[in-house]
Amino acid sequence: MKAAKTIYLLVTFLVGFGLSMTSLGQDGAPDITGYWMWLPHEEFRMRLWGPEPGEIGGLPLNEKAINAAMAFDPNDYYKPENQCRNHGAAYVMRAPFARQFLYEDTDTLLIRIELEAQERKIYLDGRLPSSEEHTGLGHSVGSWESEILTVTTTHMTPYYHRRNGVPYSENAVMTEHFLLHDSSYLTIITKVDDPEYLNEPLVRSISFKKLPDSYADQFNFEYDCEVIEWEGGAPGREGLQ
Amino acid sequence: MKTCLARTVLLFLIPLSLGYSHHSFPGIYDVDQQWLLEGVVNEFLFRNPHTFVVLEITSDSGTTEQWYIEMAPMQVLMGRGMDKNTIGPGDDLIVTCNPARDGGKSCGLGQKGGIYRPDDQLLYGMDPRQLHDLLNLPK
Repeated sequence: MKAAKTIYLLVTFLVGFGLSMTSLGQDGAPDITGYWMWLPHEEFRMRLWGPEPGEIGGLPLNEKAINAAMAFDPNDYYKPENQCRNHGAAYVMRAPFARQFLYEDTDTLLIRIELEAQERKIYLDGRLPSSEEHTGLGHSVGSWESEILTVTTTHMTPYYHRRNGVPYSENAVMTEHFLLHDSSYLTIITKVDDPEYLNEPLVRSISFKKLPDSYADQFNFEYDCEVIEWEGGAPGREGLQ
Repeated sequence: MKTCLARTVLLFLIPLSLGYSHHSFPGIYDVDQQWLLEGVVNEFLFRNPHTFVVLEITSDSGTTEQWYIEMAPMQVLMGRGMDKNTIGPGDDLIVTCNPARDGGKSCGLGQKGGIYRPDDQLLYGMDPRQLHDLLNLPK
């Protein structure tokens, strides 16, 4: 636990220390708006194709999480109730596709995610959630400190850290630090606290490259999902036991 | 220039691959096996989160089976100039794909997968004929 915390603080400090001058955006904060593309060289196989069944190495999972991941049936994705279920907040920023950052108003930073056309709202006024309802993307509040945007997300519905069923719980708390490198690269350092499934906080980072606004028409932020009730639970599985 | 290059590389990579962002591709399909299927289209399911070709395959013994060929989401196919009418019932197709791990009659158009329609030389993904030749399969 202590080692993870030390590494987390050290990485955050070093990346923050290494920040170059960035262009300024709203209220003097770094300008994080625009289109950001995932870097395919970063965890290419895991991010694009996904993990093998039971591939759970490198994660501080407790026994309950290990058992859940090993029992996960990938064909569950084909169940009618899951076919159009979006990826959850603690996974979706690691998925491929592009993101668009823009301010919905002075207190709300909107992160549009091309995958599933999801929209994360980061409330910069510290507002509390309007209800105790949990959602896939949860409730996110953020603030700029120097040149780092720190976002805390709670009220998430249970989902997966990896697409092979490594779980997080509804009580998970995700802390993200958004760091800009000379306005052209963005790194997000993420820490997930979830004692129900983790022996210690899960700390990872993911980075993106800025693309000019002229690329906007190459992205698709629309998504309509259609559910099909396959016979046998998944396509081509009729009669399988 | 670097950005253009990066985007070009991305566009090359994305069309086949991004279809499997929703679920883990190797979780469903055996990427160590590459199959070659030939059949007639029953239905083209142009839908999200994944598109499917429903293919009727006739075995040497004359029996027919219905197979599901899983492909990328709609927007990825649209980016390659395809729409819901590009593939239709009655089309003869040659497909390379990774078979389902659980033995179900489905096959995923993975990293080396592709679809070829001899009638008009429609090609999506890797050319199944190349794999056919590489594997030295009987013609």
